[in-house]
Amino acid sequence: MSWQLANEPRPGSDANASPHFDVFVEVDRRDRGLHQDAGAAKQLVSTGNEGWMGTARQPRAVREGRTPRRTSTT
Amino acid sequence: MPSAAQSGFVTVKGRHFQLDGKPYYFAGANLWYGMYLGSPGKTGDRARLVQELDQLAAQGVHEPARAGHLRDQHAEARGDARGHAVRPNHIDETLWQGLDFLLAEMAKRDMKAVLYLNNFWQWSGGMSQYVAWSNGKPVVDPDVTGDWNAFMDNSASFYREPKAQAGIPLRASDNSSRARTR
Repeated sequence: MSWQLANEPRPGSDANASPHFDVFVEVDRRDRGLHQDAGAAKQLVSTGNEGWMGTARQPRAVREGRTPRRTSTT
Repeated sequence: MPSAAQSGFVTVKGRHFQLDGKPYYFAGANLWYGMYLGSPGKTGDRARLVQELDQLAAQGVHEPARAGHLRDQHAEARGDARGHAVRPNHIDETLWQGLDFLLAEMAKRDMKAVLYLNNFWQWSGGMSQYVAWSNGKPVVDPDVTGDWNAFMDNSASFYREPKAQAGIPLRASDNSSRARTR
């Protein structure tokens, strides 16, 4: 049915997701275009992201490709 | 329905799945160990795998679309513990054969699979193992240290480490063209 690029990828720790959040957003945006990859053209592709927990509780920021102001989930 | 529309592949329309032009719903189960059981190697137990797939099929993991959904992990065992993926960019051949066996048995039961290629968490290797291989440091294992924040921060460094990413032995584009071994 589909390829899931990773199981439950998180942007960083619960205490502070800031150190890697910018590159996480960048990778997420890039990978969401992979369904056009000719090698997997018939299967769906998902990033495996959990949404709320997979975006330091700021899914809209990741979806819109911007780094949120606060990235701690605690 | 035109026969050309019956691809057998699930697609997305709006916020819903579709299969051959009809809405597609599924009941799923996590079968992360299917590849291990399907292997002819030391982790293998094909009789058990077949039995479990039969049990899933009998318990409604086909309904209502007559197709199940199982989730398999890729072969990345924790390198130091189980000894399957013991170096970057390499999977034990018996595990490839295990994946082939698993998918063939699922196909017999009209089940569909979601294959995941990497793992943020430590229990199957994945990002934390690739980071450790790339920087030569021990795996940051929260089951040992109890420090989950340090583990998560370390695992997330995978996204910015091309050397760590180069250790992934399985890519969607590689595997979809892989010839069956059985």
